[in-house]
Amino acid sequence: MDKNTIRLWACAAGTALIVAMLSVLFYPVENPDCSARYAPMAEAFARGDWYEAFHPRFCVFFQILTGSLVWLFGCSGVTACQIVSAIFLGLAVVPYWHVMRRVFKDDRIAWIALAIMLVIPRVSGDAMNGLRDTGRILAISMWLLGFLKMLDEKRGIWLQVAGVFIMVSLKIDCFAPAAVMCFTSILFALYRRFWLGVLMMPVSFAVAASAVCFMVWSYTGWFVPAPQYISFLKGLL
Amino acid sequence: MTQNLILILAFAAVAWRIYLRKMTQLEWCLLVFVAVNVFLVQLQMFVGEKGNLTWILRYHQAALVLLYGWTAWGAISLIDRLSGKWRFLAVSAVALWLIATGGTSLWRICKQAFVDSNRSARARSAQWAAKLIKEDWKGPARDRGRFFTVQGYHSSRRPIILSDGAYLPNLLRGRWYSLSPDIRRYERPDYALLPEGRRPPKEMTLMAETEIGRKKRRFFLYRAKRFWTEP
Repeated sequence: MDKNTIRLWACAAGTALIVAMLSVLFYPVENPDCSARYAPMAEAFARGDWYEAFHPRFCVFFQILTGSLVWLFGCSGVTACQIVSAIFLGLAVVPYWHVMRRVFKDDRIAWIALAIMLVIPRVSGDAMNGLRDTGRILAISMWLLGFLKMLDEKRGIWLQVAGVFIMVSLKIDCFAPAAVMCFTSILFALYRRFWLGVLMMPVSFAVAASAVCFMVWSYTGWFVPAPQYISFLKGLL
Repeated sequence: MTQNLILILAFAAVAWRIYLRKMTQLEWCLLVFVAVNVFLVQLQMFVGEKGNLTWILRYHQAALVLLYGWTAWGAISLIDRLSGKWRFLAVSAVALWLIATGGTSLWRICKQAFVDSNRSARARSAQWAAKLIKEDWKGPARDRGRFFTVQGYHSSRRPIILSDGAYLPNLLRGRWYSLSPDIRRYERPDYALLPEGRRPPKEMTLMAETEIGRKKRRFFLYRAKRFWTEP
């Protein structure tokens, strides 16, 4: 491993650890998104109450991760949300740095951009409030890094697969961007004759979207990714 | 504020690079990616909110962080144009800014435990109220049914708490009295923790009051005369 890789992983672990520890120990979460929604959902997931663990507006992935954490360690729902959100932020460090270095072709720019991302209060604020938005940073960075790798070397398909999967299953407002990202990946994989990419991208999108649509269908009877689409379709039909 | 400053610097750097004809193909791709992401998220909100155009910065944060590369390029370009003591001063200023902003972010997480502010007073009053409610509440930990609406998530946990922010209901593993109209018509709060000057809902009696901090912020804990039961 080169020096940058070691520094990056140390930075990732440090970020996740520091933000998670300080948030859990010192920060009383007033934000209703976490305290009144994600935390009760996580605790419901941990006790196996599926009906209360999910909701058509909130996708599935975050509840599964936080609920599993509550089930494994017996922590509170809010603590689980803060830890998962901090881990998302920590993990985002690595692909984000690589994307910046690849685009700007300068290590210094990549390090300063990463430092800005980590120090500004808005991003760390999302993590300490136990929100899902840090997961979106991770997903977008992963997809971008995978996409750039595919353009150069016919590699990076698993990063794109994971990025699209996380986006579709994490937050419903990521659905349209994730669909466009998936379509772009398939187009460029076809252009580069990268058949694994052509095959895996729609599979990843379909699996994540099916899980979300199935959940929404079980509550509303509509096989769509979110309630917003129901009112839109009702207007069309 | 910090975010806005960073973004202004990023856009200035983009404009500068376009003027210098230094933008690479990959940079254009990244810029288009950010724009498409912001547009699609906004479009979904526009459709979902039935034509209301609302802007929530948090929803665009993941795309906007990709612009920080240009901010970094701008800072490095400026520093590279300087020499001698000015260069040293510029590097020190950037380093100091990063340390100060990072420190502020970390301090923002911890300060609730150490300083006397509105927020820390709310947190301490919630801890005070949580003890009293735990002793007082003899009802179920959860309702048998759950009020479900597509528009909002409502858990089945009890007691139902009306408070500023959802910290107190979370301490009690209770449910936050949502202010959305659909749930308001359906259920009533069991307890309410309110600061001085706020009137409690009807049919609630004062249970206890306290003063928090050096500024003696007053909080009142109310209890429902009759606890709400599922219809």
